[in-house]
Amino acid sequence: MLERRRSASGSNPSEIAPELVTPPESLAARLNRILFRHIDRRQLPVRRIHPSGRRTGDEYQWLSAIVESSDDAIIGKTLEGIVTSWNRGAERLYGYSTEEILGRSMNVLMPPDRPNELDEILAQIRRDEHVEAYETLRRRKDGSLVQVAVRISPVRDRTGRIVGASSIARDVTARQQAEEALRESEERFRTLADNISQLVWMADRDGSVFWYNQRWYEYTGATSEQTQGWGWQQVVHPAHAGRVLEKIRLCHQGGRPWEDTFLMQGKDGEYRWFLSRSVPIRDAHGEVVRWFGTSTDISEQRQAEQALIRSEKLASVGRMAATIAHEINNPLASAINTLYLLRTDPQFPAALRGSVHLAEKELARVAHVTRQTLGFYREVGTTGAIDLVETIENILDLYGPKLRNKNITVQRRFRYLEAVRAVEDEVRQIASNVIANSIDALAQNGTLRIAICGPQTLRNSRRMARITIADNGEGISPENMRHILEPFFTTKRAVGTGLGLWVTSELVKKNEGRLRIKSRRSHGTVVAVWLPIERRGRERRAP
Amino acid sequence: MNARSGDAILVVDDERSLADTMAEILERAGYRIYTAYGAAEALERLQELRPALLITDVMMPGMDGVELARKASRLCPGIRIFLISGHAGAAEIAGSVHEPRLDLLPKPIPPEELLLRVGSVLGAPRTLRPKTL
Repeated sequence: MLERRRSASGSNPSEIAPELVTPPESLAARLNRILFRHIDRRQLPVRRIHPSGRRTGDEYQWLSAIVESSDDAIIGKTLEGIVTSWNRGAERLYGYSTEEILGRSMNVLMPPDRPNELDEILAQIRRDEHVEAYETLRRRKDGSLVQVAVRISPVRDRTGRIVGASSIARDVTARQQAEEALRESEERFRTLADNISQLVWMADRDGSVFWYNQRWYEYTGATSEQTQGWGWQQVVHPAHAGRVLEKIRLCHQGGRPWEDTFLMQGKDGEYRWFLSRSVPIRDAHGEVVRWFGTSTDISEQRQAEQALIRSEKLASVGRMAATIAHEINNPLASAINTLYLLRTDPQFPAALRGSVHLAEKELARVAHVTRQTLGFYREVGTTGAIDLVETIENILDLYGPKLRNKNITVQRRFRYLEAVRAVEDEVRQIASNVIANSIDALAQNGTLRIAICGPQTLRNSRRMARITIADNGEGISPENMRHILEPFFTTKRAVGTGLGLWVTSELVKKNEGRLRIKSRRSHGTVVAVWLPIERRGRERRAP
Repeated sequence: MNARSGDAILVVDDERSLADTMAEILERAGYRIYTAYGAAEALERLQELRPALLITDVMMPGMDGVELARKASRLCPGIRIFLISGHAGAAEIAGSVHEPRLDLLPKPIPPEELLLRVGSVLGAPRTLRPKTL
């Protein structure tokens, strides 16, 4: 480059204008002077520059070389906008050679849509006003536009009078494109981050959060101020906050990815389970510069998992119960048989019959409890026609003493008198369980209403009869209502096994019926059981 | 098969006291009873006795009552079978047999109910008939 200039000018270095090398002007002032005086560059004496620059002692040469070798477009102009100097950077940026542009107006560089820009800037310079660096568009020789960053300043003569202007312009198209690309990429990231179902955040190197996605604010209902930095702790369940914080701090210190599962409170006040993870983002040197984190709502998975655990627990409890039932039932059956043989022996003293009868009654109770708790007996598929009225009356007879004890009024409304198709023992157990629950729920002098009606056609298009058993007892709380059909759920801790309603609902399902329970605390409970009237095509006739 | 053996009942249970007491209850009621304390023994006696009714426990070591019931119904066509079980899921076990001449009875079964069930299958015992007539 320097070599080229030298050969192009080929002038005598001794002929340099003396005022240009006079100290003690500042470097900037001298640079301006050079720029300004460059108008006569072709005539200017340019000294041969030694490769080490300074050794010639010719400052003018040195500064001129700096200007020439700059990648930026450095242009000198008069206050009227006539170009007085034009470096190589300007040639490259705008496409005009020095020869082409010198003496011409800067207006050739102005895009047609901003005709006054140059005049306004020069007016400011003339008024000796400071002009801030600015970005604008310029027109190249080939007509294309280029985005440039420009800094413009006045050029003064030795008396301090403003005689021109110098500008330094830089092509910022690439930078602007990079910025645009970054903006787009950020926009894409934000669109993605705001639209995924997870909560997303970014934290600085120390773990202080500076950004959350939209979902975070939607879920927590918190404001940005409330949860910036370490403020997110306030939505973590108090029982988990300590542990969560300790673990995340340890991971941050070690620069290791973090993962934890904990409860976070939503704006509705409910806590939900989240699986949270964060990974470190590192710079080129491997230093952590920020953390990127997500939290995924896993409440439903957890519920499903727990249901599975519960059902597995239930299955193993079931297996254990079956084994115990077998172990109890064998000796129990022998004892019952033996007592029967004793009682029916012609030689058995009549005076002792009462005692044996009591023993038999007690063993029958053991058998009943065993059956209720450790494995309920189900008759093999003898589905048949069942008279509901008769079944219900039998059960009410059975509970006669209990009903009288509490002075319960029983109101019957039997409107459907045909048979239903089901397994008789099972229907008896269904109705008996529900009636027993009602009696338990009723206070002294309560009312038990039992209705049978039908036929009704339900969604599965099979015709059904409906048994409704209603009481005006204590009712079921909404909390308990959610669990009443689960096995081992009981409110009668002392006497209940928690299997009654579960067995009932299982038996209703088995008989292809429906069960619905409605209850209001201290108003009472209504249990409706639908049982099919007609036989199914596939149903086998009893042998 | 003569008329008398047609009324015979084979009671099978690995719990001897249970097999014996059940046998005695039925015997006193006038039925002709044989007992076996295991499925293998029961199979041998089935061929020889050709009973009208087989009453067997489900849970037995070696061959269980369900297997015995299957073999018995092949060996003695027309035989009635009572499976006795207190086991949860016994209904499913019985359902897998596909034998219409089979009933599932609970364990323990009250002796009066046992007599009723047997009576409904075999009719009143022969020995009692002359008395009641």
